[in-house]
Amino acid sequence: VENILENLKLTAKNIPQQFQNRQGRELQAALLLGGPAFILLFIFMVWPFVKGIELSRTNQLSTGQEGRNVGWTNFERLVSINFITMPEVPPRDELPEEFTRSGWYIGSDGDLQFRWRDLESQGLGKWASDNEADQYNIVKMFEVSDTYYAIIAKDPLFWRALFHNFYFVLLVVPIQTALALLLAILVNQKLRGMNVYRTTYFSPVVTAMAVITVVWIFMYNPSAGLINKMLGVITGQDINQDWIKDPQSAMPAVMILSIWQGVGFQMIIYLAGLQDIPEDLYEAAEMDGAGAFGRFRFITLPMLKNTTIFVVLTTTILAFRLFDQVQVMIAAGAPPDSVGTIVWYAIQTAQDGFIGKAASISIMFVIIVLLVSILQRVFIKPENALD
Amino acid sequence: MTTHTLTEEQTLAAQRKARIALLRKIGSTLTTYGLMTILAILFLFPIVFMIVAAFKKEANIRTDLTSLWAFVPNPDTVTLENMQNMLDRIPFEQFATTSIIITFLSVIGGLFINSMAAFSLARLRWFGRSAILYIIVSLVIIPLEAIAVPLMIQVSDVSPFLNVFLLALLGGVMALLWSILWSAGDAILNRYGVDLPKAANYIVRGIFTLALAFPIELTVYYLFKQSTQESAWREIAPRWLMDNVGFTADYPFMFVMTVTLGAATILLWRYSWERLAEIVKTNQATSNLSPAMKNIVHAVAATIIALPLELLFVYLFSEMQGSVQSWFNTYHVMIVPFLADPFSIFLFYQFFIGIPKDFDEAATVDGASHFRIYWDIAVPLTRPVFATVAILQFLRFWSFFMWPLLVTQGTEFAPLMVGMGFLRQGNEQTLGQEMGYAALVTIPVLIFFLVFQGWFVRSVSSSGVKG
Repeated sequence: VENILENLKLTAKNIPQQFQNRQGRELQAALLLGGPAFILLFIFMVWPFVKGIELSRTNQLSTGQEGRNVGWTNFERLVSINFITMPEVPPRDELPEEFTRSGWYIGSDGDLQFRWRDLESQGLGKWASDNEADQYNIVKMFEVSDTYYAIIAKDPLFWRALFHNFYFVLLVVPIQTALALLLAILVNQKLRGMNVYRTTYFSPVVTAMAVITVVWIFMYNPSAGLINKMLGVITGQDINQDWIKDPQSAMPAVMILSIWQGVGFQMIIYLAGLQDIPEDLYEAAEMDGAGAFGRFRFITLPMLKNTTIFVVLTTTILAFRLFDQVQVMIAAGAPPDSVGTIVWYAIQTAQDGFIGKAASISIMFVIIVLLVSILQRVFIKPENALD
Repeated sequence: MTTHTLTEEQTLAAQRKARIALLRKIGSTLTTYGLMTILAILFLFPIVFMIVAAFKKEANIRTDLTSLWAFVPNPDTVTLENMQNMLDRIPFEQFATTSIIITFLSVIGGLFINSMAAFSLARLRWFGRSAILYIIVSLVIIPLEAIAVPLMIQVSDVSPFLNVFLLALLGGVMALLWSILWSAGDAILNRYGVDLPKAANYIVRGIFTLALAFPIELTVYYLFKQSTQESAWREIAPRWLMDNVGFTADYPFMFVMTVTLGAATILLWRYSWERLAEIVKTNQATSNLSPAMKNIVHAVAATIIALPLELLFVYLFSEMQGSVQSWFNTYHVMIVPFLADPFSIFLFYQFFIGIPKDFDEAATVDGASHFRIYWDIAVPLTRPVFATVAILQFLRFWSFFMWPLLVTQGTEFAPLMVGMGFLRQGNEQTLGQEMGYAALVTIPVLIFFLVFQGWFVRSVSSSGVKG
């Protein structure tokens, strides 16, 4: 009996200690279980992110060589943009056939062109000497009632890339979202065989973008492409549109392909949203005499508000991340001037060996993505906040 | 009399109305089906066209474009010529091996690492938990594209310390796997009522463990395969292993080192922690510290004690590896940086937090360790989320394009998506071969998708709702 009592006393004494140890044991277990992931995240996400900020302020060239700190020069070059009035165009018959020194000339295709050199002699004297004009290049030139204006930048390709991203976002996001909603509503009907249709619309999502782009490039082929032939059969004319190489149609070609591949994903997200809408809402509306459109307008759309915001913003971020299609298309001959995107430009710059510049383009990209994400946080109410 | 006829008229009117309503309903259903079928054709035709063209001769692809034969396999012209030409020109099977290794290891390793991290965040109370949780949630929005350039610089010159550290990490995971298999073997023997003498029991379990771990050991070998790395240890490897099994010499050495190092470091760390806890408890100077502070002291001190072992291995490995510290042209450069994924951790976290607390309290009373609770309670309860994460990560790694493009040169380590670029080289007419390549890459995934389509759909919808 004494032994047992002794044991009990010991146990009682140990309880607070065990309680204290328990916290230690939990921390130990947490570090052993979660440690690998936390360490890997730090080494391969947090650290490169910090290092990217540091790199973007250097002029580091190809891998392995240390760069020199150049402050904000990389960013300054990227964001420098200006709007100018071009010098007056001399009468047509005075224009040289090929550019001789500088200024206006007639290009080989008969178009009016401008050679951007030696600006002070071209009537841009004051602005040019104030703004290091020799570093600028024309991004886009346009004509308003016989006067030529131009947007010029120190890094025209960056601004074009940015423009392509916004062009893509402005067209693809609304179309893809609307199409996804339409598909989701169609598939959500209580009819036979809906599963088959759902599977069909979703199947492009499981194809790998880099590979399926090659198939589309073949279909876009001017002479042997399926799309031209099909358009030819429909319209009865011989269509020879070079989808990929024509600067006008290269970006739309990327868009069509991207919507085709991506819309199934958003459709499924909408479908989940649709299935969360309580059935009795529709029944009540029907009794009140609401038609199909009324039910869509006053029940479906408001109930899908959060889903729509989510879909729009994630599609926007995906659109800014556009790379695979563009890379494959440029490799197949699409003009970088008319399809290059920010991510493509960053990667291209890195592969050309300009690491510091590539890092600063990546930072610009991060800023855009962060802005979109902040919008997302602002618009979507935190339904399941942490803890 | 009049009332009677009125009713008759009314019935007729009602009947007519019903008939019109029925017709209208049939009409709208037919319109819906028509619209959906047209859309389905629009979605399917590129895939069908690709598959049909893959099995056709180059000339037939062009001539069939305007006819229906572009979409229907013509039994007269079906041929495997494209595939054969393609396989002759480029090492397709090598690309496929790379892709399978990368995808398989990333998905499996990621499931382990991310679910364990989520478990420690969701189920355990510890100092710094919420801070790390918030960091991980904010990391979700940073895409790979944003850090690709600095990450490339980082893996182009990896310090020996980091190399060894990651080896140790891997060794720890391998040791974990072995212990799981070891106890699983015991559980299986018990379940079927097999009662063996101790020695026989150990032998059976050992064989079971080794056999199941073998594929993973094999992949570890591939993980460290590096084209430029000529190991000095080649000299001392058993010849028969090289001649008969085809292993290069560094495999057994690397493997043994990896596991020993990882397990030793972790054991030393735990052991120092326990000893330190005792010392700190009895020490006057530290007895006033808060429990949280004490734990920090334990962790830091244990790390300091375990560090020399780590450093010793750093020295050994850097001697062994010579000057090669670049991860370019390896398999692990396409796996290790992406094993830990904030979004996966987040998905796991949301499911783990939903398990009732009583479950693991009961288990703790029964004396189960935290790892047991994770393995025997949390994992079986959350199988659907494992499937979800596996599918989302599979889609991500299978179509991985940008990163391999940056960190591989030549054909040896190129995955399928990058390998396709090698088809375009030269002036040959390669449309048919390209379609063949695309079809070979796409068809297995499509079949996989058709079989598990319910899971795919569930994965995507659960990835979307929460954001």
